[in-house]
Parts: sequence; C-alpha cells; structure tokens
Amino acid sequence: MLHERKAVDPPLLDLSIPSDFHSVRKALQQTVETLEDLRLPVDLIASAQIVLAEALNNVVEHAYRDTAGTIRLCIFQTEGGVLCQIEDLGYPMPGGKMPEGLTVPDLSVPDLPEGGFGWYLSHTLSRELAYTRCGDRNLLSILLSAEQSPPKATTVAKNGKVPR
Amino acid sequence: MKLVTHPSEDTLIVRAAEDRIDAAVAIQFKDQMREIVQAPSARVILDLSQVVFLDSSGLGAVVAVMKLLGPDRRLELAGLTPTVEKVFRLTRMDTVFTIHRDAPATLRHVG
Repeated sequence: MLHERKAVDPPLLDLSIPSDFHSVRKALQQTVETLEDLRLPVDLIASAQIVLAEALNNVVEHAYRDTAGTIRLCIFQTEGGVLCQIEDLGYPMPGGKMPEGLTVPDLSVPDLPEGGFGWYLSHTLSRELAYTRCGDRNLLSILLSAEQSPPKATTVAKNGKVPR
Repeated sequence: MKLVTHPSEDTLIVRAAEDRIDAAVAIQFKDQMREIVQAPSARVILDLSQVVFLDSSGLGAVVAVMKLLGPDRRLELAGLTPTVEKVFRLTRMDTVFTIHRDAPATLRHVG
C-alpha cells in the first residue's frame, strides 16, 4: 500500500508550508529546483509540479478552508520516479474519499466548465494516488513515474535550459 | 499582476508579464482581463510566452476570460511553454482555443 511504503533513504525534500497560495507557489518552485538539480527527466518534473499544485491548493482551499495550518510535503526518490506525501491537519475529504476525476470535464457544452480539471490532471499524471485519514491527519500519497514520461536523449526546455 | 496590452488593428494582444498564472493570482488575472477586454476587438490574443506554469485555477481563469468575450469574439493563445502546453493538452483545452506556437511578432520589439 502506498501509505505504508517506508522510505529507506532520507527524503529529497521535507517542507512545512503555511496554508496560503503564495507559500504553495514557493514550495513548488523549490520542488522544481530540487528535482532539476537531481537531473530528473524534464517531463517528470512537469508532472510533479502540476500534481503537487493541485494537491497543495486543495489543502489550502478545502482542508484549511476556515483555519490556518501547516502542510507537510515530503518527496522521496523511488526506482522509477518520485513518491510525494502530503500531510495536513485540516478537514477530511468529503465522504472520506478523493474525488474520482476520471473523466475530463465536458468541453462540448456551450457553457464551458471553469473547474473540475484538478483531480483529472492528478489522476491522469500519477501512477498511484491514495488518500487516507489517520486520527486528525490527512495523508495524500502520490507516486509519479518517469515511465509515463520517458526521458529524451537531449531535452531542451523552451526557456533554453538544458538539464545538467 | 502585470498584463501588457498592445492593440493592433482589429486584434488586442495581451502579454502576461508574469511567470505563473496560478491559484495565487487567478482571480486578479480574471478581474484585470475583464477590464482590458472591454476595449472592442474581434480577436484577443493572450501571449503566454513568459508564463512557465499554469494550474487548474489559471486554466479556469483563461476559460472565464473566453466566456467574457462572448460568442462573437475569439480568444487565442500564443507561446505556450512546455508545462502550460501539457495542462492544455491533457484537459483537451487545446481543442477549444486557437493556439499559436510563437508569441505575436508585434510584441517582440517592445521592451
């Protein structure tokens, strides 16, 4: 089970993030920097930033909707990618479960949806995604695999950066 | 957030002079764009070439802007960077907007 996975090595990153969008932004920037320094595949890093943005923003918007709190983000390296664990002490997810987000919002309707994309992106990009509640703690585990986004021989990001 | 406008004939070009359109600024972006697009123009091109990251809030805000324009005006996007392009592609939003690969030439000489 994803939650029971014990990391043998220390985390690549262990952050305590105040529950506001600007702090989430800083944490994401720090995460990208750390993963880039490790020369992880560019596409894996993109997926990580997208999924973590959704997960962390959800904690700010929902779990800590009428309180302030701290969000803990730990990222571990795995054989094929990274394992991210997000912990908070806010409200549980509705019904004690993650939204399924298995289908992309319908774009054929005249009144285009402005929401509902977050969970779809998370489910699509994660190899595994699991939520559990333990006492008063929410724990979301995200496994991202480089295999979903195979590394290219030379990758130059549009900003001209080449992973070192 | 910083949005630079450049009217050009029947096209209004808006360059997002920000690195990120995310939950922290999505509402601001929408509010500012609501003001900007009051200027009449059949086409609005949103230059996102400086934006390296956009989350689902940012995506929703871009959709909201398109809806603000109404059925007779078009919102086009230009210069999507890799992660932003990925978000539009995965959500199939790349089928909803006209997307130009490069930023509009008229803005390249503006400092």
